[in-house]
Amino acid sequence: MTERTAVAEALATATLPRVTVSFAPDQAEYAPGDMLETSYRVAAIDPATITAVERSVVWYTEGKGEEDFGVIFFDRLIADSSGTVSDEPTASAAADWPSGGFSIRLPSSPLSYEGLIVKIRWCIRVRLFFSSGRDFVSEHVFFLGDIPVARPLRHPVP
Amino acid sequence: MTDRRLWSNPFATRYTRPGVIAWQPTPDSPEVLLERLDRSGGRGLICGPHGSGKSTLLRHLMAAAAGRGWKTRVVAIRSRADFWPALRAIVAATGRGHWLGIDSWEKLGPAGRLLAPLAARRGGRIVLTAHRPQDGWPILLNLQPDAPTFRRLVSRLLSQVDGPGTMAAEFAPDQLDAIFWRHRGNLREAFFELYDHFERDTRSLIGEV
Repeated sequence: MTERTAVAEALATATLPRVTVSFAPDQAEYAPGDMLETSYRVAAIDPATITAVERSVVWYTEGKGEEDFGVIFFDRLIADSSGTVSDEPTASAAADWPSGGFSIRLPSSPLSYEGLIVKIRWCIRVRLFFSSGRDFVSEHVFFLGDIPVARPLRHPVP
Repeated sequence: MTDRRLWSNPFATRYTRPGVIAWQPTPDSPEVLLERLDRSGGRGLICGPHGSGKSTLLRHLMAAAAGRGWKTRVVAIRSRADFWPALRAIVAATGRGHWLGIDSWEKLGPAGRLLAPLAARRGGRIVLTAHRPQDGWPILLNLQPDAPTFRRLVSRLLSQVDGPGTMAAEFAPDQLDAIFWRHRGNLREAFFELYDHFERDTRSLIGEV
């Protein structure tokens, strides 16, 4: 799991929310075309301070060169003044706001890849928006496919 | 094996590209630099050698300018072919409510000398980055990174990435200094070397090599 947040956010809040993600069936490795079923829990924060939650499933590259990314799922849940949730195409979270879950079918590519100069990572991203105007992003990596980890060459190519 | 695959390399461009690295304490905060920009007629130049942090500083200035409610934009010049996008951006950035950053100005070559007078007359605020001083452009900041700054950046990068986080012990100060000087103060290239170190070390730690 990787959690990232702006330094300013960290400095501005005494306690940061804690977001945990559960993958079903209790593993974070999937084959192309599998259903990704996931639930997330938001803790250590007053739910009343959260105005919206964005959930997305993305892939991104990480390495020494320019970055690339793709979004295969995105939605935004909004808490209105009565505390209910709207703009919710895959509703399953309203009762447990701001925690929730969703499921999507994964595509056939790109597959997760752990290379030396570039990696392809898949993750579930949960972004919380606070009434203060600040936000908090939590990323949870999972794997699509089973490409072996790249190894450096033992001998340089002549 | 899975845990190992989750290690993020803190020196990947995801963490080091312009605008991501946090502002480094200097005598001149972004706010001070914006004040200086206004005192110099809305035109300014950030200069410094390759990899010294010019683009990063430009993004921080853009964020500070946006915080003042100005309409901001950065144009990155990659070659002389970007003359027209630069011209359009300069023409569009008319009036005091606009802040325009043009990164790697010198890549425009002689064409930049044609655009400079136009840029100077548009009335908006314009900041260029270049390796050397440019005729007629007041210098906002001349960046000359030093080894302590590099060590501080490395420490910050290592601390922000989750995972075992044991690499800090692998980089002694004199090792970091040697890397810094090997790349003649080019922070970008120095980060790339550390990226390779990290990949080698993480793989060897788990017996993959």
